[in-house]
Amino acid sequence: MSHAWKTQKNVVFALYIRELKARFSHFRLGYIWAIAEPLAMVALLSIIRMALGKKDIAGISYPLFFATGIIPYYFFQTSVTQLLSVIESNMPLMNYRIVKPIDPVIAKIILEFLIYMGTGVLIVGGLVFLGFGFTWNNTLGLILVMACLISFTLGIGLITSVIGAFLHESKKIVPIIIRPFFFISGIFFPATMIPTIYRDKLLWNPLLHVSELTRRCIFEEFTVSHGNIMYLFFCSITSLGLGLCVYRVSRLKLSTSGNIR
Amino acid sequence: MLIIKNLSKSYRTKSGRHYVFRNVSIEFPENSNIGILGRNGSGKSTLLRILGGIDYPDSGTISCDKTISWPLGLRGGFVKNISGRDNCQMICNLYGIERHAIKRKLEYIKEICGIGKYFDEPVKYYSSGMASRLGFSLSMAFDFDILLMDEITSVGDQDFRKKAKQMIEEKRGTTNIIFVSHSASTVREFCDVGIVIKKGELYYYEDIEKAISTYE
Repeated sequence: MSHAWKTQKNVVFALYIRELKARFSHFRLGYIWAIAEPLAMVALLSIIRMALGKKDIAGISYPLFFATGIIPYYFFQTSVTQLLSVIESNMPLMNYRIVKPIDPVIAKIILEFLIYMGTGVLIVGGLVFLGFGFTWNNTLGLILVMACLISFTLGIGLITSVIGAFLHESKKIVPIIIRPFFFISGIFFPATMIPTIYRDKLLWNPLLHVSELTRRCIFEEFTVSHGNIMYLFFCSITSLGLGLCVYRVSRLKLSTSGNIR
Repeated sequence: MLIIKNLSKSYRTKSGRHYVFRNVSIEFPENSNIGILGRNGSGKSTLLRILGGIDYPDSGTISCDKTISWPLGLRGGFVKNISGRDNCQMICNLYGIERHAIKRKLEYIKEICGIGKYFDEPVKYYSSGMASRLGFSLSMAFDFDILLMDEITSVGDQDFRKKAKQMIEEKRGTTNIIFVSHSASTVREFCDVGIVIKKGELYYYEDIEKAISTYE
């Protein structure tokens, strides 16, 4: 391994440990809190659904359907909003020349991904244990979709990190912009249930493709997917490219912004 | 050997571009403790940050075949809401130090910084003197060839200053300091050669006394 890679690996790992401690040391049973939010959302949606008296959505029992939509989406939402303050909170570490502003961003994304993957496995596993069954479909496909999701999130996350460092108002504005995506990313309904005229427009949203493709890859029973892996791949590469450009242009200002303030 | 070549650095201000350094070149002598003298705002700290690799010149190069520390100073590189120990451990992790070596280093740091039980308290409760003691001790655990130090605040009170001076003396030959200050007496205490920053130019003096007298 070359020297630069090894240095960056060390730095990202050290920052990962720092983020891990920061996220879980404030509260007792911190790990449970990480699961609590998506779990509560799955429970809430399931109860509403139950009251409506329907059993399946597109061939899948509804708690499983909700869980597989909520978890990838929450990973995206949490990462992107928390990254707004990542530069500020890691500013003391910019005192060390080996730490570059992108390192805490990468560390944060890795941590959030592992947390939500763990949460996802626990929730889906728990549901299977409770008797909600399904047939597993396509592991390789799921890995590919998750890779696209990470790359997409990293790209957008780099942009929000930069915006957050220079524009204090963004910490209020960006979450407001992101919130509506909760309702149009196919978390509690499949794309096939959207009327055709709206569906074509909503399918511009790559997060809708993430929900559709995640379910397509996990459940063999989910046969009505409108997700397009080529489109998602294109979006994730574009997002990552754009994010890296924005970072590249502003990286010197990012690491020295503490001196000026 | 530490060489600065054609260094320029400017900041944008409301009244146009302000040049801190304009096309400056200098060769830092080996195996001597260097005192950099300059008035407030003359660019001392900027120079130190550039040497420490955490600020960037507009143009020009800095070449060095030795390991340079981070700039030690008031601002410090500590995360405020975690303990001194956790900070030190994290910084060791950043530099990829093995786990058993980290344990040894932490013991060493705790011993020489002399802040006792505060070592395990969050840094936000430290006085500025305690924070600078910790910063100095941490950098001592790393065996850098060149230590960058900003003002006397980077070594705490009178007691610790004596200790710091002694440690620097002991490491003479392996570790040298580049010390930035606006106070002649502290520079005299720590350094043997001097550089004076004046109007964006660097003047080198082999004799620290000569540097001080020009500066004053």
